[in-house]
Amino acid sequence: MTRPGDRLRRTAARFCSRSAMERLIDPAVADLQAEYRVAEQAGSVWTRVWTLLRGYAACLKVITLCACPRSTVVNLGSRTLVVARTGISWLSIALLVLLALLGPRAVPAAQVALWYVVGGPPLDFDAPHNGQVIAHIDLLGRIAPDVSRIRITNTADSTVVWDVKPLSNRSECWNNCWNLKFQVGPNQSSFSAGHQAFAALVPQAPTFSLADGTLYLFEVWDGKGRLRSERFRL
Amino acid sequence: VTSPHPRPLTLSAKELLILELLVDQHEQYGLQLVAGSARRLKRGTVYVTLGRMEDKGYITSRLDDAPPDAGGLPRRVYQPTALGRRVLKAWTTAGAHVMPEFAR
Repeated sequence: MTRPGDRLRRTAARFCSRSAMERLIDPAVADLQAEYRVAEQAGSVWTRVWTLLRGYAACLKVITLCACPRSTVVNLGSRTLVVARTGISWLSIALLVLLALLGPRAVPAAQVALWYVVGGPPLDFDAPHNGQVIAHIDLLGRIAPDVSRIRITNTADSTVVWDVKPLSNRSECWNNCWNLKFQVGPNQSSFSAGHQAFAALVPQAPTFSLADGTLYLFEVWDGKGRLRSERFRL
Repeated sequence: VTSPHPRPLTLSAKELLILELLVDQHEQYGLQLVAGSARRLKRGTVYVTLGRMEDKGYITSRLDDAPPDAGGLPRRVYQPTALGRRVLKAWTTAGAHVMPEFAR
């Protein structure tokens, strides 16, 4: 799975020296990854996005410093200010024009962009009610999540209780078809989301059983191999 | 290329701040230095300053152990060298003599 900053680091490695990579870029990327790990465990989506933005801004600044000739670095304070002001002005104008063009479609587009930045299919669990729990793998506006695998593991003994994969690559589910309901007792092993059929690798039987009070780990992967997980108890 | 003349032991305001923080805390990550500097250090430029200070021999760094579970790059931890401590001491002592009102 790609960690934040990995791609940027690979790009920087093409035009920064090895010494600059070790002493300047790698520490900045390591900070970004460490901060993101903390934000991922404790923070909301916005905290994660803010952490990523701050981290990437810092990394880009370090890379710019590496790529600039030394004479540029000397006057960096004043030059950075001018460049930053101009850049922010143009970005703001571009953003306003984009918002005006997109209109009401701006919100779902922003959701998709957020999903792409944060990574992984958006996952949310309802609180258990009457021995049932519902997992929402949210639709992004009108864009269906590209789910490539779903797995449930019993956390007590790490046994895989349920493991399904789609039979076709194209994600075709619409209109809340990704609200997966689980209940105490037997649950259906294979299912269809819209026209996309999912077949169970585990178990081979048509149903799998979930027990009351047991802590399970729900994991969902998208087509890019990004993982979202959440624990639940019925 | 090695310079034929020894470089003068200069210390900028940011370098002085970093040395003070490192001497105070013994060793710190770059981000901890930024957090402890009350906005005087920026996370985008702190590693450039730290790299320059390593060149001058004021500080040294090592790679921290990689996080065991999540992967990711190991973080770099910085600590002051004996030369850095001496320079800081000399700098603050000299400052106190020249301008006692600014003595820390």
